[in-house]
Parts: sequence; structure tokens; C-alpha cells
Amino acid sequence: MEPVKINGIRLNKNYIQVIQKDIDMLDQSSMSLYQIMESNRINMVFMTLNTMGSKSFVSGTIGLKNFGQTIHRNESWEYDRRVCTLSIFPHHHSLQLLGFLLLHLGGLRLSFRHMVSSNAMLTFVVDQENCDAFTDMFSANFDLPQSHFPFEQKENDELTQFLKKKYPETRASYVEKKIKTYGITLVPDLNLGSYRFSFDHLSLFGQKIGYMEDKKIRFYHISMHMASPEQISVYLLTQKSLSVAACNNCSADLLHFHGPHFGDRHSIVSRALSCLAKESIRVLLADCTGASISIVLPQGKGKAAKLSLIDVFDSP
Amino acid sequence: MSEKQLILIVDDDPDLVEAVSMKLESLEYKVAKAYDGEEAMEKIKDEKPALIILDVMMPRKNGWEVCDDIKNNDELKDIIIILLTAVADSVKTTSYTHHDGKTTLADDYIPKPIDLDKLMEIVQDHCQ
Repeated sequence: MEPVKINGIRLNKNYIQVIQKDIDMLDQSSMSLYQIMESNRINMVFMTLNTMGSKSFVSGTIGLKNFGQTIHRNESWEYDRRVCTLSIFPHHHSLQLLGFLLLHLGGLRLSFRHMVSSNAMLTFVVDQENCDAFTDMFSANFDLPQSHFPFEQKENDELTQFLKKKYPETRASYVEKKIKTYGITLVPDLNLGSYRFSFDHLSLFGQKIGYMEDKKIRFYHISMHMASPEQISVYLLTQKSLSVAACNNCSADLLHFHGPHFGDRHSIVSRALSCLAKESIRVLLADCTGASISIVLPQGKGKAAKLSLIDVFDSP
Repeated sequence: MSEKQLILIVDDDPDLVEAVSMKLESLEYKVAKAYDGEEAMEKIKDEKPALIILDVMMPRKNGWEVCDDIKNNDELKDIIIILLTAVADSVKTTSYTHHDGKTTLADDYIPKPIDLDKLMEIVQDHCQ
């Protein structure tokens, strides 16, 4: 098969994954992981929240340097050191590309902890010791521009310090009264398919979704995690249900937005989820990668959720 | 210029690049993409876009440096540059002071977060 074309890979190393299980977003008496990170002004470059399965959880990825700052460590939290995030882009919402990727991941038995999508990226959280194997797989199977492979982001300290001094508007600020976004998009009435299978079947799953007869079906969002060392859970939002056996199909609404420097600023997802909790709106999934936030809600709740964000988020 | 002109989008945020790209393609522009300043320079030399939508804060080579390189190159200086800047309040005109004292001349700018419809108006104004 011909290599599939993508524009680039983004790699960020030296993170810790922190997992909080059995969360209840509507319980005001206890703080969730993202609220504690907000109060400590710690940025999470990646976050995934899931209330769908039998065990709800929120998992965040923070910089190694912030590990000592997580003051309110809770016995129920789990920590995994030395993970990295790997993103490929763009995915064009293509089930063919997604299936192709999963086919090769499964074929090479490349395990990961989480994978979520944004409007353009597919982002994996991977044990750092496996990141070379992932980049090798991308290199071998995807058509990549040479200049962009693999691109490891490093902060330009000199430029950042200059800009923070001279141009306050570019400073990552947690005190912004209204958080600027490029706009909040609501996509209602989608099909949320839930799948659970052993890691050995990942390749087969990839083949099924990648080679579907109806080529027009696209995915709107995907969230995956290893439910146990050998079991994968997949949540896939599409226009309609797929002809692939699912544990469950239900209707759902998708809310997504992104903004300048979201990836550099803590508290943004916390403030978004707090708006929804205030209105008692249940969140099925919430995933953050890059500068994007994607929130999956029960069908019919999208409009109310979007309205609840208006006081906190600013659209052009 | 015809509506089939090639526009290069340069930003280190892939989600923004895709959002702008889709909008331009819906207006029948041809689109090229780059995610940092060095990649942008390669694409500019290879594909000679008519217009560049250029982020300022980027890794490897920032937008000011790219703008400088283009406007100081006789073969490339006629390429229209629209800067995406988070510092719009400090930019009084399209000439502004580079951090090391040089002057960069972009043709236009739009502050972040960008209004995509507004950006399309600016692009179409420059492409007429």
C-alpha cells in the first residue's frame, strides 16, 4: 500500500502522566485533577476525561519540572513518569487514515496509553522508551516532508522572555477575564460508538474502519485508552453508526474550540468544565491536545453547554 | 489575480492551519501549508505563493524573520504578507519595530484570535 500523506509529527518529551479515577464532575465537595492543576498554576499539555465506562477517570500530562508542585497529592492518584506526546497531522477526519494508522500500530504491537483527536491532530501519549518505535513506524508508513520529521518542540527562551516583557498580550495568562477563542463549534446529533477489544485485535479494527464501503463517512472525534494492559477502549464519533460491531452506540453532541496559546496556559479546560458542572451538564468525554478542547455530551445538551461557556470564553 | 492563486499558511498550530485552509479552499484558493519559519522558506522558494498568511511566534524561525527575508529578496518581495499577530494593540501601522531594531514591512496584519471571515475579506482584498 502507498504511504499515506501527512504534513508532520510533533513530539514532546519528559512528561508525567497523572491519573485520577472515579471522578464525579458534579460533586462540588472534592477537587478534580484539572481543578488542582489550575489552583497550582500547572499546565496540562494533554488531558483526557472519560465518564463512559464502568470506571470514570481523568488523565493529565504535565511537565517533569512541575511534578514537585502537585501539592495535593492524593493516594488515589496514579503517576507514571517519563511519557511523551506524539501528534501527527492533519487527519482530515479520514476513517481511511485512522484505520491505516491503527492497522500498523496493531501489527507492530505498539502500545500507547491514550490517543485523542483535535480538529487536525491525532495525539498519542506513549511511554518515552517507545517513542522511537512510534516515530520509526510513522516514517516507514507515512509520506512526510523531510523538514518536519520528527519535530521536537523546544521553547525559544530568548524570544519568550522578550515577548513577555514587551508584549503583555502574548503572555500566557491565567487572569484573563474572558478567554479568547477562534470560535466555539457545536456539531449535534452524531453517533458515539464504544468499542472494547484486546490489543491483538487493534489491527483488525483498523482494517475494518479503514476499508469501509461508504468512503464518505468521516470521524468527528476519537478517544482511545488502554483500559488494562491488554484491553483497548475506543470511543468514535461519526455521522452515523458504523458497520463494525460496537459495545454500544448512542447519540451525542460534540463541542470543540481552540484558541491562541491554549497549549501554554493552564486552567482553560478547568474553567470550561466548571461552566458545565455549574449547569449540571454531564460530560461523556473531554479531550485536550495542542490548542484544542473537545467535549462530547449527551444528545441535546450541546446548545445549553455552548451557552454556558459564553460568559467565560470570547469568540471573534 | 484570479481566484486560483496559491496561498501559503504558516502557523505552528495545526488546528488553526486546517481551519484557515478549509475556509480558503471553500473560496477556491489553492493552499500550501507550513508549520514553522524554516519550512515556510522552503515552501516559498519551491511554490512561489501569491500571498502568505504568516504567524509571528513560531519555532525555528519566527514570522518577523521570514517577513524580513521575503521583503529583502528581489525575487520574492512582491509576495503579499499578512501577519497573524497576538500583539495587534502594539502595532500601529504595518511597519513596526523588530526586536533587534530592524524594520519589517508586512502588507497587512490581523490580530489573534483571528476572525476567519475577516481574514477572508483581507485575503480577497489583496488578491483582487
